[in-house]
Amino acid sequence: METLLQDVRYALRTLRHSRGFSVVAVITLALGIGANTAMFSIVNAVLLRPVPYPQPDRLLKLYTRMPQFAQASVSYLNFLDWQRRSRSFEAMAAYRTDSFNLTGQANPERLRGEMASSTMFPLLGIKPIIGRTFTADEDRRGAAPVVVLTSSLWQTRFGGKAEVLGRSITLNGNLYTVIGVVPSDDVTLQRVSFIIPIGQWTEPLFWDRGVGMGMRVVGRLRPGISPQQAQSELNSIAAGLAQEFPKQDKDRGITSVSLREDLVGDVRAPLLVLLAAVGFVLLIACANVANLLLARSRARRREFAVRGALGASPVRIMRQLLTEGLLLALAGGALGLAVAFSLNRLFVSRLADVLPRADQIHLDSSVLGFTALISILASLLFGVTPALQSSRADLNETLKEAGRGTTSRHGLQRSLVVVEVALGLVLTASAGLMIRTMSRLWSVDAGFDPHDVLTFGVAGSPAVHGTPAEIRNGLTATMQQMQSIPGIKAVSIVFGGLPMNGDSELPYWVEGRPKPAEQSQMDMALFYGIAPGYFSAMRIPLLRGRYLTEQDNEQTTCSIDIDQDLARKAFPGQDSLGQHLNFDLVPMQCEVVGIVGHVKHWGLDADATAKVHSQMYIAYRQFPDSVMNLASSDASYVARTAGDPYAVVPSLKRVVTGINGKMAMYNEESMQDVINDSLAARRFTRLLLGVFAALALVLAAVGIYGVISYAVTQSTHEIGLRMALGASRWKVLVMVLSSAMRLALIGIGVGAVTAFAATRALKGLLFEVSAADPATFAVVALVLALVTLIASYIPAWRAARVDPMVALRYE
Amino acid sequence: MIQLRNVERTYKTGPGVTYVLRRVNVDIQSGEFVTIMGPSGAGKTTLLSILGMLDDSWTGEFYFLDQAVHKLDRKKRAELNRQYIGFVFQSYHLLDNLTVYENLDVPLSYRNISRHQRAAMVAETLDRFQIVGKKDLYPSQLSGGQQQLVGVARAVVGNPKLILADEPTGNLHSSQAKEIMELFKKLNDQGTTIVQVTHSEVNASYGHRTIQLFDGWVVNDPKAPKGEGESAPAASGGGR
Repeated sequence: METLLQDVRYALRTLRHSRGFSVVAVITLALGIGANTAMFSIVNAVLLRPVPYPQPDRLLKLYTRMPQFAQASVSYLNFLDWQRRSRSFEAMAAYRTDSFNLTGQANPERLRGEMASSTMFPLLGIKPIIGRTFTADEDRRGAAPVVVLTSSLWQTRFGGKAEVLGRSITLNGNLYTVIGVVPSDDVTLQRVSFIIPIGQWTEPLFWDRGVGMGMRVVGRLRPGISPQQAQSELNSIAAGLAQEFPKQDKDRGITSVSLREDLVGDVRAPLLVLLAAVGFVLLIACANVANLLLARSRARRREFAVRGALGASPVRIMRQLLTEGLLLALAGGALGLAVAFSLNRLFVSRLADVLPRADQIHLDSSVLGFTALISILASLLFGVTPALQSSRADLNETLKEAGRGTTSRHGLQRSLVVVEVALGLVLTASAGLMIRTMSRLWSVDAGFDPHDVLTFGVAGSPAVHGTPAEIRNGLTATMQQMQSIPGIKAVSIVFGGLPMNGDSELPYWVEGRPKPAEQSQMDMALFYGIAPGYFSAMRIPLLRGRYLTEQDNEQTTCSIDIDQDLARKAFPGQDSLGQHLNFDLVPMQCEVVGIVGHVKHWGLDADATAKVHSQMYIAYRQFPDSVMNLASSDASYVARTAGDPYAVVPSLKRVVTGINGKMAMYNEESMQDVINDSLAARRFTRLLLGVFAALALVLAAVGIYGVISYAVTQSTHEIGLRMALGASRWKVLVMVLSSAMRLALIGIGVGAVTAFAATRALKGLLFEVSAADPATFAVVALVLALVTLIASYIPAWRAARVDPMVALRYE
Repeated sequence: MIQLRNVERTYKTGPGVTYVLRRVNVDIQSGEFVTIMGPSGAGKTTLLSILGMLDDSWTGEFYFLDQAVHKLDRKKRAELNRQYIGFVFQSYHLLDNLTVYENLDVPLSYRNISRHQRAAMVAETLDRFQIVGKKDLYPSQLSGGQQQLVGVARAVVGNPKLILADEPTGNLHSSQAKEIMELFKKLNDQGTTIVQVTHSEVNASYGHRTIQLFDGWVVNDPKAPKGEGESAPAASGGGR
């Protein structure tokens, strides 16, 4: 113990004396360890930390499986039947998120709320802070409206007072009695303000077995039942329902996935790729520090020889050096935590919407443990080889050399540079592929012009509890008022879903062909309920026929514009204009009056592979009266603006709130940002890979600089000699640069082969770019070569300025 | 071949300067074998490096083969070095990582000579020095005498008109030293001008004349330019 303390004391003193070396080593390690800690804290929060529910491995998420969608929402009637018929599950709960207008308290406010079955609370183990949660009796049509608040709304709106229990709040014009408050840090509830019983919803479509209405189901397995057993039971339940309700359930199954997988499934692959990438950064940092230590241990050979001559065993010398390494690594780790903290703030601020559980990302005890562990591992990684070399030095030879430098034996250092360049190339190539992917994606024609377009939601109806005619007129008047705002060129309501933000599908069949027996056998198309201003707001091109106009209203027969995809699919080899499409879900028959361009609804990247691809546009005024109320309570809008889309937001808000005091505008987002959001996973990967690649390049440059610099110092005499023998400064410069470039070229070669294999892991994230894209690889190789050239230029320049007289003086 | 007039070399030392060479006036004819002697710190090596165009920071006039070196820029001086001068060092200074053959090729590689021609010149030199059998060996595999033999071979491989040798036998046994000095004598007999720096009277005896330096002054030169010989104050004024 005493010798250990002595080692630590001596190590501290040695490091303090060589401050320059220590600072460079600590900063290098801090960058490597910091980046790794930051990445680990993300992986820990998103992938490793258990889902915060009791026995989370027994929780499964259940979806309807349809020919077009593997994970579609569940209809409420099917949910009730699943619940009744299943024996594998202890309980099942249904929930859907919606936006509600909270009125009657100061300004109207748009809030997200959960409609959930009463089983959700016990199933997820959510206990009320005050009051109670709702009962099964309250979770049915006709029961008294009750609401459970989440603690965030309770605190902000009701000051966290217990008197809130029993009070009434108005949501979408209906009164609800507050019966309890639950914590809002729950993963399911973190973005909602309250929960109301789903079974109370009277919307007719909700009670249609064929309609999902965005409802999700979670189930808790009985103890001892495996997910496979449950899936097999679900399959037979789905088969039974298909037989009983062929019209709605034929060809439909049930998909079950673990809750954890459901939460993190999409981001698992990119996160693991990034974790590997950041590991490379640490390896480069370690290679750098190992290089520094190797150079330093050569300079200290005499010291070790003297120590050896005085009786120090090789093990003791090695321990001394490893102690120094460990101290460096721990200092690097401590500083790395600060780096990680800054990186985390950057990542979380940019990625909160992309990553599930992003709010859980922080530097907790397991992250600190990880940092300590990788610091120790790093110290072994970079410390062992230099320590071994030093402890094995030949005493006699070293003392005879008496401190004279040697010009050879840089082999290991040069190999480490090769490794650094190779790893740098793998990271830079990965980042390069992501950058090319993004630029490819941004050059994809979305099918509409996303510039200067604002999208937003408006909650609340212009004619609450009004007749369908009043609602239609109210919506038209709302749009007319919006249209009159200076800076707005065109505006339209959109029911169904905006491109890349929500979707609704309608099954259809072509008039004149036999009606399929079941809904599931009908073809589906994305539908948009719009006002005539939609096409000019979005600038969707008309290919044939005409756009929908003001004349397409409730007084006239239904007209429909379809995209070229639907025209091709529904009317192959025929003229689609004048043909009719029939709809079952909302009983309508519409005549095709125009063919418009296809819009990449599912995203610039995913549209081509989407199962439901065809699109149709119906004038919202021609919707049947039966759906007008549902349609009017919450609608999306698009507006084409004369300049910055966000500039018109204040005027729009004034118009909306001025209509009847019960409407609120929310979720304002430019169409460009909507597209940006749709590419979030890729942006996230590109951002992180970019940061890691930049770090790798900086570290590799520092490493190359260090090694070449050291080699030049060691070769000063040789360089002087060559100059005495006639070498010009230029020749010396070229000689040093070419020795660095030789290393770089080997590194680039090794890196290219490694990257060729490694970038395959990115395949799923790439778009129209091959994982072995020659152009990317060529550019990246050039970048690495350039970095090498820049990093080695200063030492080479110094070499070219060596005074040839050193050759004569060196006697 | 060489005329030095009032050549001085100083180093800055803090606020003042230290003179290494003072008012050096020396003439060396083609075909001469000149020895420079003097105690340590007299300025011998500095003088040699000025003659070899390795040092630029001197003042005075220096004519080499009728070219006014003091008026040439660094590049042109380096060109003269490459074309006409060969160096032999006390510690041989062979490049450790290169074979004997490659060491001989180094000075040629810095001239505009084709690979084919270089090979012929190296082969001829290896043959002339009877070291063909050692051409693939590394310096560490040679004895000191053999290394210096290669050092001399490297100095002459480019057929220089002038060989500058700085203590060429300083690290050798007397028998090896004799061999090397015989070699210099032979080269000189064949027409190469040689300037050597040495402490050895024996080595000096191989030359035609000896120039004595002391504290930067030329204190003895049998062929000093008219009115310049022994002009230094007897053991003063060096300022070192």
